[in-house]
Amino acid sequence: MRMQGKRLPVALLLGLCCGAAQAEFSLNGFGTLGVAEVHGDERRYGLSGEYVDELRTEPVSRAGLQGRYQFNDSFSATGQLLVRGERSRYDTDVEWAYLSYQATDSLELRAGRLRLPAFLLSESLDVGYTYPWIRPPAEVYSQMPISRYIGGDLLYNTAAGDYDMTFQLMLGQTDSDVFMGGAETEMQARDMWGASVTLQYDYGRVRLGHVAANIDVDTNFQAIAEMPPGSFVVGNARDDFGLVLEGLDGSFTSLGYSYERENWVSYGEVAVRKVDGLDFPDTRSAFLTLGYRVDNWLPHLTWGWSEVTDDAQVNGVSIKEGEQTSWTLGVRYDVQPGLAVKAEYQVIDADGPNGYSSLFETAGFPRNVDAEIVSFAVDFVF
Amino acid sequence: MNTMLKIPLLLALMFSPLSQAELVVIAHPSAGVDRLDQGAVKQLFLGKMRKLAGQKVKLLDQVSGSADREQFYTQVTGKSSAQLKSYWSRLIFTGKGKPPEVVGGGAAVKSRVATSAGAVGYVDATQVDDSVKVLFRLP
Repeated sequence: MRMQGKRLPVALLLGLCCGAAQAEFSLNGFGTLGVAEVHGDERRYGLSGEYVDELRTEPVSRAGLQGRYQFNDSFSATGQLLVRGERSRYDTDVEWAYLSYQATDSLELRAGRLRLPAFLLSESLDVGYTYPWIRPPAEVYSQMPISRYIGGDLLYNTAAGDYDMTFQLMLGQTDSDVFMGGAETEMQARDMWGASVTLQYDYGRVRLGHVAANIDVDTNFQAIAEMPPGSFVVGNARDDFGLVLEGLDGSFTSLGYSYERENWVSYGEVAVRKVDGLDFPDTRSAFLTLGYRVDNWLPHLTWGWSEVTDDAQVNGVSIKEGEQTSWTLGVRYDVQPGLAVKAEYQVIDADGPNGYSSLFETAGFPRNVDAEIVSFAVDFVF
Repeated sequence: MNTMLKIPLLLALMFSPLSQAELVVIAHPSAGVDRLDQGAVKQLFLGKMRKLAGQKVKLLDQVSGSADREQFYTQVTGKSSAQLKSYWSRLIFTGKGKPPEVVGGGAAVKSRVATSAGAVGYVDATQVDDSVKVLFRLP
């Protein structure tokens, strides 16, 4: 009895003190180090033209460091620094920097620099260790060059048994330096909003998301000026090597899932991109991955596809129905928790009126392009 | 006759679940619940349930690679260590969660659970005494 009498005040004291004493800092990191090369009809591939015809580290390598400071039960601050390979160089950026307020058990509010919730894998896009491939399938994942925004979001989580449902609503804007068709592009997005719903179960999750914005695009094709004249100039050519578009309404919608049960692993996503006018192509894209785990080995096969759906013009030529299809055979080997090794072989086939509808930098059109990519990488987290 | 009997006995010993410890989930005696089912334990240790009877839970883990840890997660979540690492990495790097704190072996987990309100961990059943409350016995 005496013990109990003492314990209660002590517990109370602990409860009070620890509200203040609970502040804690955690530091985590991740990275993918690897090499890749492309061989075939064209010599450059990728959103920034990062894949070339010799083994380079830029296409697949990146590393991040994330710090989180928990002030108390409700408030925390998170920042993430990311180094990422792109066309012939590495770029360092603050990818996340936000304050979070856990208003109730199920409601979280965040503000600052956040990841744009465009895709199924948006928020862990660069953490290779969390998925089977070296990079998420490009046909879908290159459709939205913006990866982050400044603004805020609201996350509402509700659970029923093993099911877990999350609603997300975001508002913000962005001024991003991105790559489009191999060219450095300044992209501004205003009045940006997005919403998503994710249903999570023990074996995986399904996510439906939509983002919309009013965008300005200023592209500088100087970076690829070594290419034959007139080969890659879209829209209203500026200084022979540029493109300026203003006030375009655009939207991006994606439906995706991930599944993992016993030995089977599967991912899939379909996405639709719509942008006003004919200077910026509307697209449809999809991928499907199937893998089967055998001990620490996960061999997997991926089909990826993207297609231009409107009458978008490149140098006055419609690229409607221009498409890219690829098959990727890959394997992931889990060396130990926190460390995985991956290898992939990809065959890409781009068809249609113009190479602009694929991720190749093509020097002429009409043109069909066949190529293959070989990649190796090591993924780690700590 | 004796040796004939001994061989099956020896085999039985070799293949009996001797290596399988009997694991229990333990909490601080002040915990507002007395029993958890396996589903709740799984949700707790996958970070999906963060409170017990209104009290914030502080999860404690045994060191990576320990036999108890492997057995616990395999039995409760059905996930391998690599799968769990991947699961938690996704939550960490999307800002959605934090894995249980690693405090050492079973003895370290037990003493921390015994001294901090809200703490929950798992240990070998033989390490349990009056200083902690058993919430669940692994089958």
